[in-house]
Amino acid sequence: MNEYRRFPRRIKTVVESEGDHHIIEIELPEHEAEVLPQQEKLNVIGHEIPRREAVEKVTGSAKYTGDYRPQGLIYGKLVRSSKASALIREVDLSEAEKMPGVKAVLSLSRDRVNYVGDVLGAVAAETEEQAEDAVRAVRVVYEEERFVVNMDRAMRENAPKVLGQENLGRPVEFTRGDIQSGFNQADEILEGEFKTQIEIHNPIEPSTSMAIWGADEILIYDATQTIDITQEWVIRILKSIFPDEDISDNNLRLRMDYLGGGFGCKIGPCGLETIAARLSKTTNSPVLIALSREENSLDQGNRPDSYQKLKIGAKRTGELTAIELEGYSSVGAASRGSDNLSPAAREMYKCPNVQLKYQGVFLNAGRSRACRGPGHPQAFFAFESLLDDLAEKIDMDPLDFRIKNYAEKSDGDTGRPYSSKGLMECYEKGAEAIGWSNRNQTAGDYAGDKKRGIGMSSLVWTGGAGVPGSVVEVDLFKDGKVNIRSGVQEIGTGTMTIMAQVAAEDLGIDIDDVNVQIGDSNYPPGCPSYGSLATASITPSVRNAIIETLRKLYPVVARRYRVSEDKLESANGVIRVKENPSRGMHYRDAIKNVSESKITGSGRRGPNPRDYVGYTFGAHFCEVEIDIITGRTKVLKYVAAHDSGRIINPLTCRNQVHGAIIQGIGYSLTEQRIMDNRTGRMTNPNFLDYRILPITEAPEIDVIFSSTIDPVLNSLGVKGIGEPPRIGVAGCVANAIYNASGIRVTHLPITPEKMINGLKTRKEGSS
Amino acid sequence: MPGSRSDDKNGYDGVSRRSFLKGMGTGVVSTTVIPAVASAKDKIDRISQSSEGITSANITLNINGNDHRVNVESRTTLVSVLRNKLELTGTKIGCNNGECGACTVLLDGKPVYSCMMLAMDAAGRQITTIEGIADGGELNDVQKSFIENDAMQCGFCIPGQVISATALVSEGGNPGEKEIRKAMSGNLCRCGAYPHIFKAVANAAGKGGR
Ligand code: FES
Ligand code: FES
Repeated sequence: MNEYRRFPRRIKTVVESEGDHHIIEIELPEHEAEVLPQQEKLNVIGHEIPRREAVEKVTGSAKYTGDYRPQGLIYGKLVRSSKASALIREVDLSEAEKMPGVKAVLSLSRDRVNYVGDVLGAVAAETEEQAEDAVRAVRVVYEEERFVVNMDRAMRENAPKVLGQENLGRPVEFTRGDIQSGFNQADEILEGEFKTQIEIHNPIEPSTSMAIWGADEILIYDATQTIDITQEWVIRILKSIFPDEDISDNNLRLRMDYLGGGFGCKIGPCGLETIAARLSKTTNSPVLIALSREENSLDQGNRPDSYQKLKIGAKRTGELTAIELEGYSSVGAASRGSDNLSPAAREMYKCPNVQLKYQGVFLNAGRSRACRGPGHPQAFFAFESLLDDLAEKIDMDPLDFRIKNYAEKSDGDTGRPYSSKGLMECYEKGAEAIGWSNRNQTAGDYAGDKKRGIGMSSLVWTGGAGVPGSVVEVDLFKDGKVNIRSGVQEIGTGTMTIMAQVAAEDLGIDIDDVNVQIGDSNYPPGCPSYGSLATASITPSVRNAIIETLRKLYPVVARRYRVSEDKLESANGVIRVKENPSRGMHYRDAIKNVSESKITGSGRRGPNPRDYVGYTFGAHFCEVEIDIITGRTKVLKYVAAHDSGRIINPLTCRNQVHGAIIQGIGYSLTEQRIMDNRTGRMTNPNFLDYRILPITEAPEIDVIFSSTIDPVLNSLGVKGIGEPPRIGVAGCVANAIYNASGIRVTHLPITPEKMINGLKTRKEGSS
Repeated sequence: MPGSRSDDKNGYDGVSRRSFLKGMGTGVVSTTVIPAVASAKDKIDRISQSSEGITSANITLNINGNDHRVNVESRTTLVSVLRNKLELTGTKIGCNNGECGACTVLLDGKPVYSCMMLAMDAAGRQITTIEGIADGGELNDVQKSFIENDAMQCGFCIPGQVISATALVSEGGNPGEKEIRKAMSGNLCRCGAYPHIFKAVANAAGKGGR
């Protein structure tokens, strides 16, 4: 049992994860770090520091899950369904078993499959090529059933029932105020129907697991965003398969040095872990399973599509009076709820009357999963589009309209106060950076074959405050060097680097003297890499761990200055007398007086404050150019202004914002899962027909961080950044396209074809 | 067909890309076209026919200046040999289908997709992988610039990006913005680290990023 899993002093606290809120019980830290001083006084935090694993990444020595080559490694491949819905009459593995190099075959004994790509079994062979051959030799006898792979069809009355029940999942409903009286107060009411497509996460590293079932330890390398959650799941599943084996977190270890991107599709288990483990147990060899791009597209998750009916009412003076939303998103063959489509309507603006209802729709297709800002990009695309139309209707500048409805408190200005909200600064600085005043005063009023326009979107990520619980352990060595460790992940955001920055700051040492150890379930439990919560979860733990560890040297310092230990404090690695700070010594000197070779301590992060809501905000602006001959949209310039609290490393943080915007432009213009209604297959499970943005289409991006330091969430004043910049992009691009062309495209992605059709209709309309 | 029985020999019926690949020659990054020179023959000294009709042979691959003797099947791709036989796992697989550039290596100094190249066709050519791209023991200018400009996030595409950038920069001739973007367009980065990658390549090429 990992000793840190015991929680002696408990307290209830609210945590958010991926837009959902839960109350959990956590252990209180012994001591809380003091609030950091202002930026000018900091030596490492807030400075642009290249990430510490950079050399490994540019030399190819950084090890990802598929890169280990233990002695005797063999390769696993999965047997998958080629049918969208079928009963399984037989899975005949006998031919496969006889193929050259094959070491083991495994049937999962499924009696039915629910989508193309559903897993039926696996094989392991000496080479990857042999394993592929063996999979092709597996004979599957299906009894096919009717299936449905698109949301509009799944909602029809006589549609095949995907999970043997109604295709509509349980709705989520929310009401605030009185919607009818809200619309009665409105001078103008607009309604719109919006559709967004299914997005595939597509990290360049496909899902991968490797298992080594040894006598003393089951070691699993896994590409996961959540080492702890995945380890727990793997233990539970393996225990149910092998009830006689002793499997626990004492002997099942999960490791990962580097993750090749995730964006949500590597939250929790990918499913390969237990299959690799079973094959490894049977063959007594390490087994590696790395999915192909196609497999990854079919069953490692996706952002669900959405169909949203939205209605907004406002007074002529600009106040919003009522918002009504009905939404659906297809979640595949999984009993997962709909993505959260509420944040724009419920949270973003001051509005007393709101009524929302949204629900999931089941399909014979791979399940949806949290995807960078779940629900939020879909919701903001629809809402911000209709909001701009309403601004035009009441003849108000879209930015002024948004500012007019600025919410100072959560839940559309009706709930608890925000811990901090630097959105006004984002509006101001962002508008200036894009040249807001240069936008077309009348949409489409731009002469020439290439029309230009400017648009904007607000955004809120209903999260980013971080979660309590992460534990960090610290070793202080006699030569002044330090280890800090926790079971967190390096997903590409620079988590190790910011942990080292915080440690170096609080210990008053060079960052190169800090060694960061992560990615191992044998380390104290860390936090997941999702929900924009890692930074705000782990960095307060680093600080508290340092305090606890330095306290172990208090006896030395107390003796030296003949004071009692409670008269001491620590700052920047110096342990000193509170009342006379000049009397103190750096831990490097204090540690020389102890007999142990190192001092080890640990600390954890405290709860979130009860009386505040910790969210992150931003304002996006962009300029687009539309070629009216080809219908192509090009984003020329993008300005992303964000309030994410204190920025620990502006260099890596900016990089992350760039990436979210580039993904968001792909979502706006090109990306789309396409399903064939006839065969039930995805027609574009590759990078050729599912087009993510290449470098040639990446615009100039200007990233602005507000000066906000969150005063209550944690001792560093940090909030999250991972998802927020994904949220505003589609709405911002759609609004810029409207400003350029006068064409309102309500269905993503905004392809050249849709633009050409729109231009044609508009021309006919005006002639 | 609903309700009907069907017999699917494939289980999961992806087309066997490798059999399709056989004899197709060189996968090429971006727009730089490299003729598939059939110079491998003299380097192949034993071809054997297995019972499935797959031929295998011992070949010599020159990788990062060292000769490696390997036995490969006719269908084995270069990336498979690099990663699985020679344990040079710095070269990544993102699509295994010539669409992403994660597997980019230099072949006689030009970037190619090693997932689209048969190992046999690489015999007798000079192959440089990410493990051998540094100048001797020291990082090359592109690698240094990638580090300074934080031109990476998860890093999975980065070996391929560094290879393509090194090929461009070593051509010399002050590439402009368009040329840089074009040269790098065969390397997808899902993390979207492009602005920093562009800046890193531009700086390494001596142009200064924007
Ligand atoms: S892995 Fe070779 S191009 Fe994608
Ligand atoms: S850095 Fe992650 S794919 Fe490029």
